[in-house]
Amino acid sequence: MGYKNKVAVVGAGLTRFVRRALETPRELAFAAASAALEDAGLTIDDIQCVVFASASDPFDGVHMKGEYVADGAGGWGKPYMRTCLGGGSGVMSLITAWYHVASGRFDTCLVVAEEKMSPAMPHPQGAFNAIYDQFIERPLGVNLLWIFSLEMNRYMQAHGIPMETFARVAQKNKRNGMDHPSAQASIAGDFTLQQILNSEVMAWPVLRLMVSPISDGAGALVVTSESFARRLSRPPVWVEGVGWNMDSSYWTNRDLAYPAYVEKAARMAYEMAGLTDPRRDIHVAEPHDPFAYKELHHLEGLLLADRGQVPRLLEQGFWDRDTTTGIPSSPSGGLLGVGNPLAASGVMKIAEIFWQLQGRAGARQVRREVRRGVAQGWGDLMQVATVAVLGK
Amino acid sequence: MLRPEQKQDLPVLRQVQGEIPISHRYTLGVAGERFFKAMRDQRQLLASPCPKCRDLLLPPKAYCPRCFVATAEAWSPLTGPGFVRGFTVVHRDLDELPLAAPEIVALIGWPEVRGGLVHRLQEVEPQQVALGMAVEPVWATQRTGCLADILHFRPAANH
Repeated sequence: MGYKNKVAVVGAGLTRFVRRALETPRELAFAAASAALEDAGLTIDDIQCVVFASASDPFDGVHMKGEYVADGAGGWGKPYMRTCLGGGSGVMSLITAWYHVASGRFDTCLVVAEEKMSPAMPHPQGAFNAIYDQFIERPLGVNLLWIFSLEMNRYMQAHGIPMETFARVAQKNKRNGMDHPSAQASIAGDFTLQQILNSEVMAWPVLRLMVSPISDGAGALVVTSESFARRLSRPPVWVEGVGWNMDSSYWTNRDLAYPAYVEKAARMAYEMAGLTDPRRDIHVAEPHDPFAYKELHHLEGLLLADRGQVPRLLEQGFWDRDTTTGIPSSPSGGLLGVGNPLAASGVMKIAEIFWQLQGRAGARQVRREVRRGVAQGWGDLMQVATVAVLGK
Repeated sequence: MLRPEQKQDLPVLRQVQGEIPISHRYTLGVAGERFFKAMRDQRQLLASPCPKCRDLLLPPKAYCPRCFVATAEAWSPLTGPGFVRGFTVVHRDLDELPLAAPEIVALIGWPEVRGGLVHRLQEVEPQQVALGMAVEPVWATQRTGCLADILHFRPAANH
């Protein structure tokens, strides 16, 4: 496969993630986009096209939200498009930018992802209710947690994983999030396992402190061709591989114990990046973790551990930020520790890999040497995986 | 097999009532808070200046979409009348039901600003409206900081 351009990430910016932002979606987008441009040392005049990502219109409560946000995302008078794969949108927005630039048509692309979940009343669950089948499931009063609780329980049963394991994931990520300047108030923190296990049951076995919160926020990336990136002062981070894959959107037709579509997306990205042994070649990971069990699920799907073996590695500290022999997972704090403005949280994960590879993650910088990392998004109707391998 | 004309026939086609069960509460935003407060407290329309292109933006924004920089801190109240840049006469409501009386809706600009406002135009007959007509806001007595603080626009007194 030939691509015209090698593609680099050269800047990233995030707003703070909050429960209810004063800023409009456009203002959030502007704040993140400006921060990313400043991070790259560029201005809007250097940007040739813009990719916008958002998971859903009903949260912000604006129909055709991509068009509404456009001028705050820097899309004024430029080729502009939205990419939408629900929770997978953030990582997909980098992939979309990748093909804009890899094609040779553009040298620079600004990626902006924004989500404002707080306008939806009484709860964003009302919008999630409408992703289910009108006749088969919605009459039951289904909410989004049903699918996660069914999936988590299948995963637990398949491998005999105790609840404490999932509490450890939440504990790790919420501790990591304490060092993230974008972290949503009260989401990050030093929780005991007992506090997490004692938090209220949402839909068993999913407990309150194992779920990411409702969040408002935005994130942005600057993506360029190799020739453009070489002119900038900082060493670029390369988009070495991209992959994405969809399973059936009907939950009864999926293997809930294993996300095969994540594996397919990962294999696609690894193959493009020329990786033969991801456990050796990936040095830091940001798997999608809107729920504690999803981090483990996704680490398996990303082929970073054998099926059912992630919990054992977790006990050994293999996924900890300060590991010297393992693969730090969600050093950012992830969605559990920073917050989950859906599309923006995927960009937050890419930004984390970008900063980790440039050695600019500050208090979150992992201890081991890192030359390559993977960021993964997940969501849509809980059946999509988006994967990006970044390297320096 | 249904004939095409039967497809709207409710007794033939069983249907299920449904909705997306949410409503919305929108924050006004950084720029909106200031804009609507000035309408409520000062009966003023504020425009925000871009420090780069020097344009005054209406409705005011926290950033200039063209230059992509934050707008300046000092906002300017509009002083003179606005001018009709376009108008329509609306005969049907949101549900396509006939209005009791047709309503004039105008796109109103001010010479010093980029942008403008769309609002109802009253105290004038549709036949009398012309492009370039000078108009002024009619303020509500009880104002809450929303678009309805302006009841409508009308032809400006001294033009």
